Amino acid sequence: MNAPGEPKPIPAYYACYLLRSTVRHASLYIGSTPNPIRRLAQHNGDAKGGAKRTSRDKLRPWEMVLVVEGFMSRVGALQFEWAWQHSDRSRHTNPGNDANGDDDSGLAKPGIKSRSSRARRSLTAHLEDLHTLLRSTYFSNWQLRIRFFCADVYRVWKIWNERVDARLPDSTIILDGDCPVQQGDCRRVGNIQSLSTDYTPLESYLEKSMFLLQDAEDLRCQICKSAVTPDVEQIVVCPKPSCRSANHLLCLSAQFLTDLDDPQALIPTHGTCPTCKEAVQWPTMMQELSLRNRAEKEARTILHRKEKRERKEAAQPPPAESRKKTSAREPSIEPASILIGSDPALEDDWCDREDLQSDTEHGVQRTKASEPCSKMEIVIEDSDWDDAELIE
Amino acid sequence: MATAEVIVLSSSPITPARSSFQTSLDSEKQPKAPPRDPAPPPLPTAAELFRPATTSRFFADSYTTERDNKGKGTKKTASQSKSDGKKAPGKSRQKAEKSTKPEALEVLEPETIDSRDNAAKKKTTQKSRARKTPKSKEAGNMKLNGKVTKASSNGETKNPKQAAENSVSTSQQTSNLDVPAQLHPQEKNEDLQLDEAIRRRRDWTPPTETAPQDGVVENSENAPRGGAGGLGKLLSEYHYSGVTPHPREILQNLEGGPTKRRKIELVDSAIQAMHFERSISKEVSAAQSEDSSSSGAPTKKKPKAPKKPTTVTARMTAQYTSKGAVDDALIKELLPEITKAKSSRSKTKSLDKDPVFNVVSPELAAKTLDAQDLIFGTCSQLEREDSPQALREMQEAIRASESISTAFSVDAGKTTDREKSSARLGSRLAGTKNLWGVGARGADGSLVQAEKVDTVDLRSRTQASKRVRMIDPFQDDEWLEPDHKPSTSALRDNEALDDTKPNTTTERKLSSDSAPMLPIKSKTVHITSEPLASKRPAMPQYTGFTDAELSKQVSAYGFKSVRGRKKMIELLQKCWESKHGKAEKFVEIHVLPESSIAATTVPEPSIPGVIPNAKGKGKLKANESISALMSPSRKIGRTHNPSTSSFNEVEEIQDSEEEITPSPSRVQKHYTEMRIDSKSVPELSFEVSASAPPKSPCRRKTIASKGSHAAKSKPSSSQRSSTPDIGAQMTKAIRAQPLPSIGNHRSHPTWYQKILMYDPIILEDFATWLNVEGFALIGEDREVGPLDVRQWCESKGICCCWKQGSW
Repeated sequence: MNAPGEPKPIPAYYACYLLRSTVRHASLYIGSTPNPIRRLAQHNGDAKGGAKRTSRDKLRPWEMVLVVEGFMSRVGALQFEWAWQHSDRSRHTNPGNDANGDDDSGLAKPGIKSRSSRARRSLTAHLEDLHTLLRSTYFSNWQLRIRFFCADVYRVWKIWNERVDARLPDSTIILDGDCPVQQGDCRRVGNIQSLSTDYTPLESYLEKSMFLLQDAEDLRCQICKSAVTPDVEQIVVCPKPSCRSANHLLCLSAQFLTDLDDPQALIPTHGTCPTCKEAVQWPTMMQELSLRNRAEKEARTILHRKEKRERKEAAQPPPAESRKKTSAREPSIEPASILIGSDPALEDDWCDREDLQSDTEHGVQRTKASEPCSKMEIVIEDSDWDDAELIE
Repeated sequence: MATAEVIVLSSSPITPARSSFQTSLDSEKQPKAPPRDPAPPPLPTAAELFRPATTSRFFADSYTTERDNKGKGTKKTASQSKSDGKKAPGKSRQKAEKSTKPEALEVLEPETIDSRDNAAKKKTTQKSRARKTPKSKEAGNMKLNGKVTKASSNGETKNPKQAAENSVSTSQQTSNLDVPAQLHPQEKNEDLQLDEAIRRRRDWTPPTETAPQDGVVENSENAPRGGAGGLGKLLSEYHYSGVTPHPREILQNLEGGPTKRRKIELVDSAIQAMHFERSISKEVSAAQSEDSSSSGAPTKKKPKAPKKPTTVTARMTAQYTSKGAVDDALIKELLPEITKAKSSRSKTKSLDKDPVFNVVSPELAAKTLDAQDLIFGTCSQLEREDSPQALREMQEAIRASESISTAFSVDAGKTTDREKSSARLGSRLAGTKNLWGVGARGADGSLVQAEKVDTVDLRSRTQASKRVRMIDPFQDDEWLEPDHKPSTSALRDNEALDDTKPNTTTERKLSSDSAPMLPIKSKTVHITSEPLASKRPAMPQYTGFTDAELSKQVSAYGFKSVRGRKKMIELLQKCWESKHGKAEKFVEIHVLPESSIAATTVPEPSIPGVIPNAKGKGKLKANESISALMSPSRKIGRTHNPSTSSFNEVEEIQDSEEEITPSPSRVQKHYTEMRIDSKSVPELSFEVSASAPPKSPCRRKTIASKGSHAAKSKPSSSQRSSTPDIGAQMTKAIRAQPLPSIGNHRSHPTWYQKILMYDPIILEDFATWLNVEGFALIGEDREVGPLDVRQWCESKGICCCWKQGSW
């Protein structure tokens, strides 16, 4: 499914980050990465491939003072990164620039001289740009989140916030690291190392939806009341583990949009599942959908690994079941297993496993039962869920 | 200054006896002194004024100095007892003097004196004090002398008498200055003068109050001058001297006051005395320099004012400085006119042309502007009409029309500049915007050559001079309006009136050309005009906009992003006013009240055929379309736009049905309008789809219907385009895309599905699809370029990128 030219699934994680030298706080760097943990190691020289600008020993080690996460595509993250780095030239920070057609794709006209200060901008300036970007027409719809890891940076941010009229919704701010604890914010992970950068949070959701759609004959779209054909149509499954709702992409989006009551919006941000009436996040559903539809192999790999892991933890490793389960949909299971490890994003599974629940995934419960059933797919699913619970 | 110094000299010899005097009071006062400085100056002046401008003043100063010296001594109670008899009379004088004479020098002195006193206190033995005090006094004299030299120079200039006296003392003093050791000669000289001083001192009323020395100090400075010049001078100079010394004094006090005391305490008194002398001399010199600067400042400043301004700013400001309030009042009165002038770009331009340095009074400028014959047009247009005769004819026609218009002031009032222009155009061109667009633009979006238009105009002109004018306004609208549409000069207003008549004529002409079409057009025009007129004036509720929308709007107006919602709203409102509302205001101001009312509310009275006041752009468009019809050549021919500035205006005419890739600015506008128009959009699009391919002859019908619909549906917002916003059309097209009936559309998602799934939209592909398929689905016959698409995507927060990009 993932042939070149085919659209890729929504990445599990993509973030822009602000890097700061712990030695010299004035040294800042803006970058983007699907894996901040690895990237930070690169910047610090612990791994190959850091940016040249961050390679000076004098400035190391670097710290990620904040990350902007929630990008639904690499392109988007790169655009944001560019706009943030080139705030003086970006259309999104200077709406008045639209006319001159400069480009946020890095193709800015050479004639436009960049602000000389580009190399050296203060933390405040960067935060200001960030604020502006998050308020821009383009990016404000992306449901991006800022995760602060440094309290002092957050203080600067707060000060800047007070000086600006426009406010960002509170939900865009996640205080993490040594920042003051936000009451009731369960998105906190503590430090960069424990950021979840893979599809782990989606595992159960993915598992459930794949299982549900395997046997979709009696499934009907709750909105148009017609049968769903997962092989042909884009079917969105409710992320709630106990909900068996499956709807057409267009139907559901239309419904959500009407609920949102914003005639101009094209993409819903969230909605209420027509079946279970629970609030669901659109990005999560799309992430799962794209993963399921566009990267079946990866999806299977993910599930396979999950199973494996769970079995291991449950001290019961019979891999046959998972194959059966997956085989129901696709006869050849082998490729999936072969693919294990091919996705770099998946390699970190083990270490990250612990706190991996993402905010969006919170509602997902892992059912509790520890026995691995080898016969029926449904049974298998149950068993997996049980395993999951055990893990936790 | 000079006087004060002289006095000091005199005082110093005497001081030892008197020194005991009020010291306690003075010393106490000193710390307080600095804050008081500013206040005292005014009081003393009066007293000084009354005094004769004789040497007495010197003495007065000397008294003060003496007093200071006494202050030193006062702490020594023993000395006080001796001098009490003398002091009593002296005090009374001192009082008066205190209030009157301040001196910077004195300020210095007290500090130093205090320090000395302290030193003396340490020793506790009166003898030691006695020793010191003379020395200190000497030192004081030294300073004084130094000052005197400087002061003397000043004093001479001002006060002949004083100068003479000073000269005597100064000569000696100067020598003293150089060699501090020569104290005696000075004292002798001083003694001569001191006799008088002593007498006066005895007359003194004892200073009961704790009046600050500072006041005295300041007064002393002023006093000498004032005495010389008389009351008037004193008063005039008073401010400067008063103001300048303050900071200095304060500083010195701060330095020398309390802190110095402590320092001194640590040092041996004898040694200190020596130090004092030196330090004092230094201080004196410093003080002199300061004094000179302070004293010099006022004198210099006076001559400066009359000088001719040498800097640009000075020149510019000089013209206004003298006039002051009067000018302001004038300006206020003239304000409306000025605004008018500004409102029209052409006018402002003319102003700019004037030599920069000639600042004409607003009145004059306005008059000249009014008097000036203006012809609006692009360079190319003007070039074409270069022949003086043509220009003259045009001017005449304009004038004639104006006269007529004045007669019909009511009508004129109805129409704002824009309206007028539109009306003219409309009457002439009678048609929908689409037609206009067709006529004015080539398939590639370039402007049709105006030459043909001109030819038409010329003909019409020959028939009726008015017509010529009509043409002109049209041009104006195109080229000049983008910046300030409403502003156009009064001429236009008048023209508008004229237009109505000419319009009819033109229409008839048209009918002759294309008989069947005319009636329809006229109807459409009317329809459009009504709703537009009524609705246009409504300004969008910017307060209800989101920040993003606001910023978009701001950018649409060509402004850079403004921070702060309030500011954005204000800016937008201003922009809007300048674009739409201003015209109304303008009308109101200049035109009769009736007219203004009519403009806002009255749709159109209705002489069939005549389109009196088409406010909206819709009209414009209609008119344009008409124009297109009128000049067949136009339709065919396609001109290239000089572009740049013209863009905005062109955009307003957006309606062209041709499939033109809109200019970026156009697109932008579309987006900005999109939200506003959103309501109306669906209907419009629907109708459009029904009418379908506009290029054929049926086009006119469709256009007409479109226009009318647009007019009806659009009431709320955009005055510009009757056609649905291209952005909205894009949205529609996306939603209209059917799912592939056959095959797996999971792997081939529709555009909307892609968007829903956060796929980055490839701009080129998307634009292509829109142009090929998407717009066909909804009957939209325009085309969009990737840039337009990008704009749309970004306004929706849809991730988009270029194909070539390596993403």
